[in-house]
Amino acid sequence: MTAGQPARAAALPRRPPARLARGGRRLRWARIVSHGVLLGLGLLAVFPVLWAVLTSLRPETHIYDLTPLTAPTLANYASGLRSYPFIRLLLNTVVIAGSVTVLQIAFALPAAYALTRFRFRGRGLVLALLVGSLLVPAQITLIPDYVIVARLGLLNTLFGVVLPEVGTVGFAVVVLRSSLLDFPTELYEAAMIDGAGPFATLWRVVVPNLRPAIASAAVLVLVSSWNEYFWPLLVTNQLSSMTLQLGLQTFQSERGTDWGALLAMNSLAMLPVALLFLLAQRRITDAFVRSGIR
Amino acid sequence: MRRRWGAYVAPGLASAGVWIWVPVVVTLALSFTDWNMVSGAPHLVGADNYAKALTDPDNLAAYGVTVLATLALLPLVVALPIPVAVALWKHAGRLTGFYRLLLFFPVIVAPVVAAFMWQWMLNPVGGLLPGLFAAVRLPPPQLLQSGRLALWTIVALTAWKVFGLAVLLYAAGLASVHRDLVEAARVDGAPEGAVTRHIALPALRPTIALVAFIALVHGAQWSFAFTNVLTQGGPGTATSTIFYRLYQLGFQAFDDGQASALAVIVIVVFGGLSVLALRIGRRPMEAV
Repeated sequence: MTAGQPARAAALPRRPPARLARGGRRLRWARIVSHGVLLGLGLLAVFPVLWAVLTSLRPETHIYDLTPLTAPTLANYASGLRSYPFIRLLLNTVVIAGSVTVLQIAFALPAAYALTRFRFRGRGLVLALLVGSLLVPAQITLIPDYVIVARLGLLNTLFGVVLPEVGTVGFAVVVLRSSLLDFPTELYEAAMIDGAGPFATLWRVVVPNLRPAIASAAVLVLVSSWNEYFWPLLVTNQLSSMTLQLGLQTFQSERGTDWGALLAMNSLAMLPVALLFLLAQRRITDAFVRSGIR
Repeated sequence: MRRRWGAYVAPGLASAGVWIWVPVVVTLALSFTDWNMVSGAPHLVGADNYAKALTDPDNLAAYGVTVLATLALLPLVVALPIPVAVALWKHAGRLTGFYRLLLFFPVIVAPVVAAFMWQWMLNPVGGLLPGLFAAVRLPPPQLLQSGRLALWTIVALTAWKVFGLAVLLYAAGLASVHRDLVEAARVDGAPEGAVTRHIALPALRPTIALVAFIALVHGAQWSFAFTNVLTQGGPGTATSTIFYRLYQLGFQAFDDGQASALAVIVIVVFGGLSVLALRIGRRPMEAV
């Protein structure tokens, strides 16, 4: 009730009635319990991350302490960077995830465009082959994929990691196609009147207008390629083509458990995606949710 | 305009063809052969691999572990996120974004990075969990060292990793419900339970099927890094799911005919189950 309606409020007989008041009190309790549960689960979700980062900031002699951090130090980061080839691993991972993303979008965009814009015989089959490929569990394709990569002489190369990861291009097709289905036909018609061919239309009309969807798809592919573990594990065992995750595992098993250095490198490995997530939280979660996969 | 569609779909179709569809066929063919992937040519052995797939004790153990792990994972990542999403939708208010951020964070952490964090949390020396038990003079639980408990630990960590994705999928399902409807029900004195049962849950039905489908198909992939870093399928075969077994057979024992037969069995069983899950949801690919 605002100040402008006092008379009307006064005229109403004894509002709110008892039943509503009880509901209100119950609602308040439900609210308090909900906040408690959400906060508890939220903290449980991020606690291991925070604990690992916190440990990585402890001085070496206090690594095993269970107390709050008193004197943070970057010593573990310095020693980690000396004993892990972190920069090399980071570069490999950036190149791999970046290439997979660029190739998937470059392949998926024209396909999604053709599937929504052209009517042709076999369109249903093409769509089924691309979408259906996502339903095949990765484990089924591993051995043949490995053999193909080996026969091409691409084991322990960045190409050998990247190319099979582009095989899941159907994923980007699904994401982009669902946006293109809603693409305003007026824009296509305007392009046609301007005399633009199908490719010019794709490049000059679709791409600029579809930027948010392309960005969503790209972020999804980027994050899943960055976090891909299984495939690189199979095809690389050398520093020249290893990803961050494999590097962490390899060097941990070689050097035993220097927990300070390991957790420092672990935290650094997490940093790029974590920053990306904090900067574009809403877009990233929305993209994940809308695609519904991974 | 219809002449050159081929050029638009060719790169994508070729990628999916070379790396997914051809391998599916090759795997099917290899499952009838005896091959070590490295030397010689595969030669036919008939249905031997399938016979062994259904009798070898390690394979049988792996089926059992897979069923147990899946049955344990489904309530954690399909059912439990529902009340959390409902609470987020109904009551979080201005803190919604904050809770979403916290809950979703594990989803974007790289699997091995997450596995090391947990290894550190559970480490017998200096780990937080054993430390807390020691502080109250209790023997620390052997979370990764004793058989069945190790499997539940892997399942719990997998649930930790993907819980937030399920919550946000449900939250998206609830976003289609009109706020006014909820307010109207409350003004009419409807108890909160009724709001949940009659407004929220019906809206979630297709999403529940979708989440169940995703959990079935991707569950084993999610747990792979935890298994490989923390237990390597052990102790014994306690955490070796069919997917982990397949990896061990194919890339450590190089018994690739046998591994291919297991892969075929996996695609038939899990493919069937996921078709079923999507059927129940009655919203096939449009949700994906």
